[in-house]
Amino acid sequence: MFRFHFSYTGAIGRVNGQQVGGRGNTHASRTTYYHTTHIADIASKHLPNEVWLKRQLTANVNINNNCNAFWNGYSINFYTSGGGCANLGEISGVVAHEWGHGMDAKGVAEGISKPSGEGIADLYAALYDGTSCIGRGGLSKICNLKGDRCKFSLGCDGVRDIDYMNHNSGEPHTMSWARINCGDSVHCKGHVYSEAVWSLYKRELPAIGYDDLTALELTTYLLYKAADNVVFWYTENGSAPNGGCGGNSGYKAFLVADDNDGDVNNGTPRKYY
Amino acid sequence: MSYMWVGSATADVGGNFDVTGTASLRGKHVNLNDRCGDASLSSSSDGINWGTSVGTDCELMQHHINSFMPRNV
Repeated sequence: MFRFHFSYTGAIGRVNGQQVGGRGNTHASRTTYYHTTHIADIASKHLPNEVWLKRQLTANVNINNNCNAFWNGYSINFYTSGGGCANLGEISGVVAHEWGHGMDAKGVAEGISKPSGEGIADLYAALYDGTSCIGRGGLSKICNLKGDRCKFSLGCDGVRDIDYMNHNSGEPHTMSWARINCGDSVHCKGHVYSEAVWSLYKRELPAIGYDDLTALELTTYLLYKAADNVVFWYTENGSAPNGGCGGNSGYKAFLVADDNDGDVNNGTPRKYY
Repeated sequence: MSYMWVGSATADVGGNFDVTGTASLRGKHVNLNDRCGDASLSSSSDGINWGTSVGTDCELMQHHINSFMPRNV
């Protein structure tokens, strides 16, 4: 006997087997609309006076190229599948990351933060998706940070993993490490502080009694409040005023965001410093 | 979907709206442009259903037919 099985593929949205909504109703367009709207809504709750969040952001999907997505100063843009990459407009973490560049560039402290805006874009994506694997599903292979591969057993097929414990070395990726292994790569420089903030969520806050969900909510709150005012997350040589614990560093911005009496020197409510 | 423009109105965070009209993946936060073409749907009594899909990029509908050769029984 012959048996026939019909199945439908195609990217166009389908209801009861029929394509609906036109050729632009694709997997990428629906996914990008949904996640950009959702993360912008979350940000608006934390930053109700942020002017950029009151504006409509242009998102371009299914651009005829492979293995990239980008913020160009005005819009977020996503390539089609191929070359070992998924269609990046179909990946929530990539959408959130590119939106994060916009948030970084257009927030109170305008301009991409220094020495790299990649860390803050990764953090917006990670806390939105609830995973340190940035853009999970975006690649056809396990991620690899300049030779320090992501642990195969964890299966992170995104572009990066900002939990240093999820790499084979198990060691934080410091500025010294970045200098030796990455040259001037902005993605490596971003790891220096994105790993620190992820550790705040996954290690420091749990160590003082916060459960995972509360720690996620608190880290997200602090990130939005702090990052909006950060110009320098740190300086590459660790000198004042922004290096490490300097007055205008990302670290100090987190303390200010957590403070409740105008004096960070007497501690902050979360007591993580 | 959340905050989508439908006719002269904007859906709420839950995607609810109480007008009849057309939507096109544009809303309060996003103006979506797809190189594959335009997207547009009119509301019906069931609302607006953009459907689901399993393919990628701009793929149009394809029928996959798996045939099984006869076998002796």
